[in-house]
Amino acid sequence: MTNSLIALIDSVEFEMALEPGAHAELLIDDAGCTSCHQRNGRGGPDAEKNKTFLGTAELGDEGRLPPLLTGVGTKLKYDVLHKTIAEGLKVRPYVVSRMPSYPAALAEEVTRAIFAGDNEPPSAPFVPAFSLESRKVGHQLTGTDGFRCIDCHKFAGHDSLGEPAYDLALMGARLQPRWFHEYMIDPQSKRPDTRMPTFWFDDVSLFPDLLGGDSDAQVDALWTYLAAGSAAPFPKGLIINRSDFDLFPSAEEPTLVGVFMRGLSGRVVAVGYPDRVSVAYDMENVRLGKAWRGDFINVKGTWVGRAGSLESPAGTDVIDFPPGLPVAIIEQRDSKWPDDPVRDQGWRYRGHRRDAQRKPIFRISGPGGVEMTELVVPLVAADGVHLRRIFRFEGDTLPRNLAMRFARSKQISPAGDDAWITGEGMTLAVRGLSVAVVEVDGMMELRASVTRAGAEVEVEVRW
Amino acid sequence: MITLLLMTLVMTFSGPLATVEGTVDPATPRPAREADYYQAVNIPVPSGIVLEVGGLAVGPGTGEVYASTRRGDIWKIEDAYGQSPRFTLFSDGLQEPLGLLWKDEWLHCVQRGELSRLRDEDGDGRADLLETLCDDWTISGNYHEYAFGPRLDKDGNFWLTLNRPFGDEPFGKMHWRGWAMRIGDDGKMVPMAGGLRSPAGLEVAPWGDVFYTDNQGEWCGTNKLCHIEEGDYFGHTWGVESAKLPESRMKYPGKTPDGLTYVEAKKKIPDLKLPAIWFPYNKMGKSAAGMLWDTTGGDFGPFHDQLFVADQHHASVMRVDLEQVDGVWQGAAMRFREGLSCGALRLAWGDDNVMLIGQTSRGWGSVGKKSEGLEYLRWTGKMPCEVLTCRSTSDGYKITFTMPMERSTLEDVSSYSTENYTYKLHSPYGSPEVDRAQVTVDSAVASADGKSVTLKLAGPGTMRIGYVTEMILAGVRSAEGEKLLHPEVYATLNRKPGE
Repeated sequence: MTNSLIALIDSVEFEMALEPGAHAELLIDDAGCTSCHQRNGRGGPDAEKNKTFLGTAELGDEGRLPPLLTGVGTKLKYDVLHKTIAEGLKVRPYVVSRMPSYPAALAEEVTRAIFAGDNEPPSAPFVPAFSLESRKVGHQLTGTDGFRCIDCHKFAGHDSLGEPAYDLALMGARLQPRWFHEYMIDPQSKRPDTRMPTFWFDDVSLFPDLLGGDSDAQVDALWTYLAAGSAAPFPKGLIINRSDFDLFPSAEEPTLVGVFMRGLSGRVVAVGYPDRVSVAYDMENVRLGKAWRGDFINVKGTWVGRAGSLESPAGTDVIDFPPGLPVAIIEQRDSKWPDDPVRDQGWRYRGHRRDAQRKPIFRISGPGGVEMTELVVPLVAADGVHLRRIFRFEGDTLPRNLAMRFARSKQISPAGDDAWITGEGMTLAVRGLSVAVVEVDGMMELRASVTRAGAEVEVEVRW
Repeated sequence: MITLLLMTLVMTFSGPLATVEGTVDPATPRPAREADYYQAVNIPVPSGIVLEVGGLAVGPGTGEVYASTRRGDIWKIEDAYGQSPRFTLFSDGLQEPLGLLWKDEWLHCVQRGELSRLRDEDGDGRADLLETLCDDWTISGNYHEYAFGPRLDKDGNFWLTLNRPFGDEPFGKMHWRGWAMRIGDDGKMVPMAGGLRSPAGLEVAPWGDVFYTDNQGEWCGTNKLCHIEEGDYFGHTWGVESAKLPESRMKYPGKTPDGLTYVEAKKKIPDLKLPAIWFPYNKMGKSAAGMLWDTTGGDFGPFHDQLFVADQHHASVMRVDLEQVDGVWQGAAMRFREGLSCGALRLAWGDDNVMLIGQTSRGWGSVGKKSEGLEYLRWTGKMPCEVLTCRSTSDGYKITFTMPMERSTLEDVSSYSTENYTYKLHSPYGSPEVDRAQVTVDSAVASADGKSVTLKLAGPGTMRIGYVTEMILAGVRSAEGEKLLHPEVYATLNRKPGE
């Protein structure tokens, strides 16, 4: 505490000589509050300090800067303001900076001064009327059948449907009801730059049938409901069950969904076949990436809120096809398989056609105008479901030295007619091309040359 | 558990009927409301379909609308304006397709990572073929890496805009984020302009110029409408390093000064493009999105040739009257229609010149009762009392109205309140309205028919280049004594006529 502040607190005569508002301003300045917070148009961080406040980018300055102190004595309850100053109470998890804590005596003095200053002249108590009907309406208005507060605000620690704005369940215990009321009707009157919308327009209520469409009654209803804090019933739409986003392909045709996929790329289409086998096709890397059995995929991370999560297969027996293109131009049969980015090699994804059963036939193009399609078909066998990959080379000509690679493993061994088994236990049977195992850089690769335009290559993949 | 509706490939709706808002009780006198002039109708969506509209394309058949969704589907909607629209899953498995366009009997769409075109070859209402036309840009796997468009310019090229990412980039930082792209017949991408932030709306004017809308945030003082020309820099610093690549048509702008007004910053970076329109934050929406030029020739009301702009947050449609002075676009923004069911993202003209509005609030809360949907506005035929146009003069503005106004209110300078301000180009989120200067209405001269007024402004805030003149016409009344439905006009000035 600074000497001048101690002197100020000790100086009863001086305190008595000042108007309550002026007293509050002096104390706030002296305690250093306005070096970070703005109050009554004064203070706030300077340009350099402003840049040091970090937060959640999507919330803008509201998610980064210390809150305004203008009227804070009408906003927060006395004990909350005191605790905030004395203990550095943190309620905005999205703001990285922490409020420091101050000695209890100073906290008490500043709180008292702010309350005296901001509540002069005192106004009559503001007590929203409680009724079960009002609480019920407040409950509805908070959720997805109402104003959808939870689109942005957390509730009792549960994530909102979008931005991570301030927890609604904290408001009843922290805020003064009059401030809440005025803020709801005109948010910008309290915080000019806030993104908080109002829900009552000139002459139109979004919910004219609730409490007669009366804006005051509807705000009171929200307060009445939020007053119960985290014990209030959950707003509708808040709790999202992950299982609600399990995708199950229909019995008739595959289901396709576009996702970011862990281990592949940001440009993947997952295909779930009715036979409960699924694949992930990586459009960026122009190859089949994964296959799995059982459940298809859960897309909560792609379909909820702002989404953008990396998804993974939901099922079992996940196999990863070797990185790199299934097709390439190589100088020698045992040349190193190109690992340059596919774009640099001249290969690109070109889209897909749906066959009569709406299975996708993926198309890629490469150097020399070569075009290749790949159709993946579930292969139902005595021991379960496997896959058949059917490649077709389009066009009348092919570039020289075109080759395919079907497997890469530390070990590849013969497993019967035209079939091979990898060290990972994947069995491949190739028809349409003459395959051979070559050793490159200490790894075994199953390769074949492609010399005939129009060639069709079928690979049974069992695992 | 989501029961995918693929089992019934064509679903006939049998649920609630289309809901029409705005029923009026003539016995109760009350002020004019937007719904008296533009009635909103919700298109009913079968349960199980989550129609978070990202793109809209109308036709080709009567009553047909195609809507792409953020979940990655394209729905073909037949009898869209009837009581029982039919929904058919045209395509699935797309990545956040945020725009649709018909061209040469192909339905074009932009996904996160590619420009695609789709076609139903066997006539069963479902796409059999998807061709990737261009994927010359890459994505790092961040949710905010949206792509918007496609739109066609007068030479037949496609245009796209690409968002900047926010947060994790699991597959590495990629080039061309925050850029506007042109794609020719050869499928090659040409990066035309950079420095965009979240360019959720892209449209080509009937005369061929390309415009986009951007969203307030860092390096974007408030929402804005910009005219894109080759080489433009719009001020966001995220993707400027891509300008060093040979494909770029924008010169590397160097270090962008942090904290100057846009006008001052432009003195240091000549390629910095000032917006044609600033949308003052909260006064004119909070999330400018899709656009639509009024090409209805009057079928949608008095605003033909003007531009409508959707706002996602406010669930509203705004209106813009553009003018070109010395080859530079500027104009005035006004409120048009609020109180929609959900955040407005896409606009399109439907049959009989209704305005279709594709909606979603997921991830970005919006005003409104619904989470997503498709709604349309129909002009009731009644003339709203509105500002029609607002055009700059050498010393003020000439404002026209949709109907004759009471001349005494037009000529009373106390009918108007005015302000003048601009925005900072800086790294913090958004900009307050800065550098205010006093501006007043010095004189107001009405036309003889009362359908226009010429305001001469005075004071240091008069007609400053790169600034917004806010004019509230609270005291103006129609000849019948009616208030303006929306008295606010926000005019952006980039060039003064006669200079």
